[in-house]
Amino acid sequence: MKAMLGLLKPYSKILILSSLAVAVSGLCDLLLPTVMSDLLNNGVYAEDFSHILSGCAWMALITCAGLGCQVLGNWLSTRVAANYCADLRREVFRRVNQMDFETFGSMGAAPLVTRATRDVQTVSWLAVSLSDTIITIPVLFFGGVGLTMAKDFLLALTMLAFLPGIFLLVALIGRKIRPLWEESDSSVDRQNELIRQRLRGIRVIRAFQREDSEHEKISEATHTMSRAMISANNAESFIAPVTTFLLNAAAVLVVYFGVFRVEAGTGLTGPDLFAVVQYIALTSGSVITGAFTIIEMPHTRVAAKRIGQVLNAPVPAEPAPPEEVRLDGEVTLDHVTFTYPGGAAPALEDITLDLPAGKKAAVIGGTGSGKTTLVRLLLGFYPAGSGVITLGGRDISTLNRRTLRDQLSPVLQSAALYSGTLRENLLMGRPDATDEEIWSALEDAQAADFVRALPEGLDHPVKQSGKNLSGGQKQRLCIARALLKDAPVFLFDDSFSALDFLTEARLRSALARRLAGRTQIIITQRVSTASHCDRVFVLDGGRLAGAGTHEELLRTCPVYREICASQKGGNV
Amino acid sequence: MKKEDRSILLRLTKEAAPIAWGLLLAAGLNIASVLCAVAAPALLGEVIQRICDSAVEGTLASLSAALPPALGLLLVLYLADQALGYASRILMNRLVTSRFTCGFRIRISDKLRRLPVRYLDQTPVGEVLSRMTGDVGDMGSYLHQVFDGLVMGAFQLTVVAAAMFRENWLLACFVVVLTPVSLWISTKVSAVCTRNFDRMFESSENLTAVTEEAFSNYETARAYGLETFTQEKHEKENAALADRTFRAHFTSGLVPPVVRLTNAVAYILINLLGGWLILTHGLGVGAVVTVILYARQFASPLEMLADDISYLHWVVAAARRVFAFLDMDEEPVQKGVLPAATRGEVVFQDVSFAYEKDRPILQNVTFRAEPGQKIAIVGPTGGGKTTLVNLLMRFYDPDAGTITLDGQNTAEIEREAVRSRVAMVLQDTWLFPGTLRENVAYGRPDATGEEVEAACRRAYCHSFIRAMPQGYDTPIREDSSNLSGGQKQLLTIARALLADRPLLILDEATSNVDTRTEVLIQKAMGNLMRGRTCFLIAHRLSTIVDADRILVIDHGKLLEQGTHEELLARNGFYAKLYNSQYEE
Repeated sequence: MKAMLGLLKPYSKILILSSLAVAVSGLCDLLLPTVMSDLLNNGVYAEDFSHILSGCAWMALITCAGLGCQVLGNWLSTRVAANYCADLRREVFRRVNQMDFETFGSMGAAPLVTRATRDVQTVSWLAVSLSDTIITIPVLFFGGVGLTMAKDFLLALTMLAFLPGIFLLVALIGRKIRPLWEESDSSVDRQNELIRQRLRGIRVIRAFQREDSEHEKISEATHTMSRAMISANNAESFIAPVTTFLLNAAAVLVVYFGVFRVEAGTGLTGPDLFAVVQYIALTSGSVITGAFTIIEMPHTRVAAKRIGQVLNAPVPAEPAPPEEVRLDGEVTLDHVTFTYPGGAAPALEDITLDLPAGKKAAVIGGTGSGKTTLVRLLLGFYPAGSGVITLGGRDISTLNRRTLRDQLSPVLQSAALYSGTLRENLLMGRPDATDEEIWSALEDAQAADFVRALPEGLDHPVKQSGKNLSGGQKQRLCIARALLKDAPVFLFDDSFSALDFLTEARLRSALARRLAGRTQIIITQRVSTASHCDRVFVLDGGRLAGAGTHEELLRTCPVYREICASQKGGNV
Repeated sequence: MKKEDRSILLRLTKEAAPIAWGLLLAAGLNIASVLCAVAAPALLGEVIQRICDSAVEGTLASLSAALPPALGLLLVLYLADQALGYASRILMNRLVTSRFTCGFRIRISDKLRRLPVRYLDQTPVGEVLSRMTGDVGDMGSYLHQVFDGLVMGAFQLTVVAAAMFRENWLLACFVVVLTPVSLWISTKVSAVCTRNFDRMFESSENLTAVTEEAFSNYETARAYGLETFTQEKHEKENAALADRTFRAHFTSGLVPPVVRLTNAVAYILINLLGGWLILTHGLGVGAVVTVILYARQFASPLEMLADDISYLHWVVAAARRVFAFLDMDEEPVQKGVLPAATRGEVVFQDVSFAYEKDRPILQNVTFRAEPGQKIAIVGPTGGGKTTLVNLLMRFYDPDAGTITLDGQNTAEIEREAVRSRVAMVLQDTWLFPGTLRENVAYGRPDATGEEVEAACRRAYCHSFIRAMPQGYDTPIREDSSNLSGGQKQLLTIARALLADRPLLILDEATSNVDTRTEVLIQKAMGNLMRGRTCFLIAHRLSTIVDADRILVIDHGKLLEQGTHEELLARNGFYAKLYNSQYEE
């Protein structure tokens, strides 16, 4: 909360100015009936036409002033809201970019996107409209009461009794309505989910001739949804009639009391009564708006809390300043154990292995065996829980993360590309690479053929996250990017899975040529890939089940034999 | 409005025929409410007039006795106005939501049953969802608009205008002339607003896209040090969005001042003119009060009317999309039937097929599967393997050539009949959020508990299902996160086993399971394949080697077919593929 308000602080003066402008414009509205009653009292009854004229001139003046203030207030507060929203968004994005993987993982990518976009939007706009209301409502309220007071004391009391009542009523009904809308929203979500499921499973559904029962399910959900929508709508439609009636009742009451006052000869006149009736209508408008703003608050509190979590997330400290070195590619793990935060069992347990510089190693194992965890530890995404990982003889926990990551050319499972051009994506590996170097990397990554076939070649536009490319194409581009980076250690995390055997074979021989002298760690599920490596490490349930060459492991490691058997069948 | 748009509105209106009586009732209630609303200012004006008169005449003392009945009546009018209005609104709401929009949603779901797979493959899920929710919702608000906004608005305008003229024609003239001017200006401003908001939403989508991309590629960004790159990319969109947000909201904030300006002009003119009329023509103060109140009643439906008219093109666009969806060509129906017993002989004869014209996927494919044979289909991705399945299941029909089942051309047989002879296990393990039992029994909803269990035993699911807290009645979560990838595969095998059909299509999953489950899957598949004609899109060598016949497909052509040994001996494409994994 504090961090969010801190960002709002630079705007506080403009905000006060804008709320004052809005309040003044509201007061101008209130002054019109005042002038009118004066015009009727002192112009019409006194049969003084010049007074009528001057009254009208005053009205015109007041209207112009009011309008000016309204436009000014609008200009200022929208400016602040838009800029504050942008500031908050920038800050949230920056914090996410800095946070450690533990925090990132616990919040999740998709929820973080919501926090950085929708939540920020909700909170910043409410913050601005709330700060507007804080000043505007009291000014209008006391302005209205004050003007009435000037006409008649008793009528002012009537007004004082009614307005807070209306405010409370709107707030109360509003609170009742929100859960109804939430229920209606979730019934819409449920129906959408059913349709999504049905479209995704269309082949299975048709294969098993279950279209009718799927349709039944959706019809039922649609009826439920209708019922939820009706109750929410009905409840919401209730607010306007109730408040309008109460306002009208207040007006009637004012006239009723007013008559006694007129009778008592307090100097109150018919036109004065009419002015008070109009004060009530004008003041209540802003009161109702204020009540709605306050109803929104609890809803926004959830969003505010989520943003607060991001802004207060710890920024991991760097163990050392960055250095310009190229370490040699020896990788060792010494009794490394790692458990994910909140994980019940260790993802990696007591792993000891070493890989001399320039060698090619495969890490094989099923899902959940800890292969990807190993990659994450090597990249310094998470600190090893216990044990030591070294790279080029240095303990990686003592290295600046930038320095560490400079030593690694990773190709990650997700095959991440960014919107932009192919060239931009490839240059992320090495910003100063020439086209020639790019093409040579593409050639070796087996991507040159398809890139050449694109009309724009390297300038081919990539859509968000590479949506316009196939899985295999993305994998090959990511490999090319890693080749351009050309660090001492290459990490391939299941990077050949979308390639057919033939392409993989070509890629393998190209990499063997190009990466001679570099350390390679290949995470894979395929025995055929592992069998070509200098060393194979077998992971099973987070433990090292075996290490050695393909042939050695076939003899000594039952888990490896099992994997081979399942992939090759007994007779190969 | 264009002729086409008019016909869409006409059709939409006709669709409301079944609820016409209800709508008329709602309209009646609304009319009564409007009449109450119009009577009130006249009464209030009269009251104020009487107060003024008695002040002049010095008969104030009698006022407090004479006024309460009038004020009481006023209160009743106000109450009736709101109560009738509310009744009409909830009646409308119920009619439109439970009958009109609900009906359209069910019709869309019903339509999905009969649409060809081709259409559903080409249409993003989001599109169907927006037909179902957003578009139908817009169509529903059409009724609200037509009745609440247009019809009632017009009615209220007429009545209020008439009442004003009755009070004083000159004052009325000013109001009636001024209000449309304000309306015209605010429509102009609204048009600018709409454009600005569209641009803002566009910017907002871009920003979300950039954020999504940055966060979903988080690991790569860190590994390659792209923090500054993504932050700059974000800032570009962020600044654009801030600017467009300001423009959109500022222009939309201009509408109320415009309305206010004209209201104020009307107010001032009424005062000026009213004052003059009182002085020179003996007009009552009450009349001025009444006209001021009427002026407000006159402005509000006009404002709504402007919104409604600009909203109408949304409604037309939404209705056009929904009608286009409902009118889409459905799958043609065939009458042919299959004999009860199926041997399972399948013949592809010169089959050619293309998803898009000029881009053939399969060309002249001919092969024969004898009953009980295992046919493995191998080849690079995109070569046409899945298309064979699509054609066999009649998800698509061939452009040329025939596919026969036990000698009968499948294109002449009812789709459901063909499909009822085939069980499918696909890579994409589709399970729905229901219990495990319901999922396994999906192909045979009438199966007994014992039958389900027997199938699960043969598919090696029984032990892990029993280990779950509610056993067979454990619900599968929406994202099926309570099952591992391997367990899902086993469940789909159990589902196919229970369905027990003479033909089997099996699209092997590319391994994403641990070794032990993998062994179970192999065994379960062995059980499933026994005694059926099987088409296997194979990725595991063991499955391929065991097959009775291997079809090698690449670039839409059937390159080779035969047993493993025969194909190795041929030393062609298959041999190359097979040997590739031993090359360095």
